[in-house]
Amino acid sequence: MNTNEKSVEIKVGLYSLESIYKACYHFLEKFYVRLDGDPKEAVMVYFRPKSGTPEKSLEEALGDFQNELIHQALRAKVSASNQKIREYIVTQALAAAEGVTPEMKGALSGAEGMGGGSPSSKDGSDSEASSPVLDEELEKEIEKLLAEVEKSSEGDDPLKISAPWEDKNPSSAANAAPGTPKR
Amino acid sequence: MSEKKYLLDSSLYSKKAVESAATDFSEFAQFSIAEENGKIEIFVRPESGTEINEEFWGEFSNHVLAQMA
Repeated sequence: MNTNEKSVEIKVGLYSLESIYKACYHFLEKFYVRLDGDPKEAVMVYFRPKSGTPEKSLEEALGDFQNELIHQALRAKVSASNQKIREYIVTQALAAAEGVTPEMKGALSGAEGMGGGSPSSKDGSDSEASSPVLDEELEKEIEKLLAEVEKSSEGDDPLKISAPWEDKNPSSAANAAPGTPKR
Repeated sequence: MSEKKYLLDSSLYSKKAVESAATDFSEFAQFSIAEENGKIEIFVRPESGTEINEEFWGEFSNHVLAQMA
């Protein structure tokens, strides 16, 4: 270890390698960071300040790094726990954009519930076997929220982006070639 | 210019990340990468105007870590 290098030992049982990488990322601008050790037991993370970074900030960086590690571990945990709801919301949003009917949405949800769509959760739980994608009540709650958002944004279009072109330019629309489809 | 050899632990760094970083640094040096006995061997031959020193290696290994985050 270099004289101006300090290290911290991270037990992999407490923090995943993924969290360690993500936490390291935040320090790459001001420090040279290197990893060593056994990824099955404990990983040593070494910090060496770059030129222009004061050496006294090294001790502070170690503390900040450990805080960042907890932050990243929590993010990973939250991400895993709401993965299904995120996928559901994105699927709903894409289906609405594509003009998929509610009957088709139900068919899509059913297919995902049978394992045909979204990836299974990392802890190997068989929750997908007991409920399709999401709890029915939760699904209704999300649809209700989406409807409220759409309703609240109605009329809120000062630049008239959602208005069809023909409504904004009636004279040009009148000169359009016959058979031009109207929206 | 002389070639230098560096090692990274293949259980902590991925060879793909090293190759990606080498591509990004290709204007500064030529890289030869091999994996053997749990280590990723990185041979670095500098292009003219580049000095392979601790700072260069530090930036390169930081870049590898950034690829993995």
